[in-house]
Amino acid sequence: MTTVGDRLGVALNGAISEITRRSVIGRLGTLAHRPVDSLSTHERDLVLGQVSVAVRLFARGDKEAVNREVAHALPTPVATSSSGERAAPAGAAQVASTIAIRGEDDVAHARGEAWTHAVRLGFSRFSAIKVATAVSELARNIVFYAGNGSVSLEARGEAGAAHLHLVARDQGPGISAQKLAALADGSYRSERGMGQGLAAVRRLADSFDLQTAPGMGTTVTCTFRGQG
Amino acid sequence: VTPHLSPTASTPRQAQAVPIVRVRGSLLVTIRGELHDRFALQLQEAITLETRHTGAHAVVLDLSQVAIIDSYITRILNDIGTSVRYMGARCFVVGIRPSVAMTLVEMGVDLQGVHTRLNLDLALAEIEEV
Repeated sequence: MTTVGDRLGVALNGAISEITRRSVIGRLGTLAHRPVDSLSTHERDLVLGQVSVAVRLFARGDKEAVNREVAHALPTPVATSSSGERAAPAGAAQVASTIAIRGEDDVAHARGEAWTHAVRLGFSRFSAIKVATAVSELARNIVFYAGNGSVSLEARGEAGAAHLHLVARDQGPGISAQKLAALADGSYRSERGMGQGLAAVRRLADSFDLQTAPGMGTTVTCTFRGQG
Repeated sequence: VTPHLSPTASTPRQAQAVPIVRVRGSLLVTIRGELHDRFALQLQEAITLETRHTGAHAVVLDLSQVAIIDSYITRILNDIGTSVRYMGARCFVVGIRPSVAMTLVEMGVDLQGVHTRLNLDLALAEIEEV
């Protein structure tokens, strides 16, 4: 049985690096382990969408050709078999990804993913920009202060009224109580503007939580609704 | 109108020409797509050098193609504006999209370091008047 992951691995071979390829396929979650011919139209579209984002960002050479190759590698479901469509989970539940943040390129990638997810969930343009901007701030803080970490995006709630749950996590130096107090009253301004970035996210998000302690890393959890 | 490309020295991977165009004594920079961090820093250096080199009296940054501006990019824009002002020229940022403007307001960041105008036309008209 050939899985979606196997087939994509072959199609992307040479176009993007081994590490990126694994990360792209890994991000597809359970979809990657399914037999290639078991995908519904909707699932196939999701896979192609995810892959094309990665191709656009990381592929060398002719990106369109790579995308065509990938599309060709995944068989198109027969239109009449609607059973697969019904079996597919609601659209909102499928929006979930974790992006490793190690450097500045990952910040841009995370920003793009956030935008894509928000749009796919039916967020307004303004809401999608808020999400992408917040992700940009948090990912940048990770790069600046912790060196590496991750940003996770997950859709929660009913389709149509879904919100995005965002977690930015790192194992960096953490933030001292003194700095936190200064952050809270707005008097703290780091050289690279962490204070401004965190304050910005707090204002953009519909809910905001910060867990940190010196030596314990930092975890920011926030949610965004699609409207407003 | 003299098209003038100012390549910036950097490693091959990030080699990206900063597209600075000279228009009647002003420098015009149009940013397309992502305003990448490295590029933003290159931009700051290239603009100040080019301002000095050409004796420009105004710099116009067209951001109408930029979808997302976060606090870091805002700070770089303010820095560019302030350094250009210190050199005796004026710095305009034009074309900020409505949703980006609303996001900046909500974030509580400011763009005090630069003059903002609705579009390129208005900024150029104002520069020409002086």
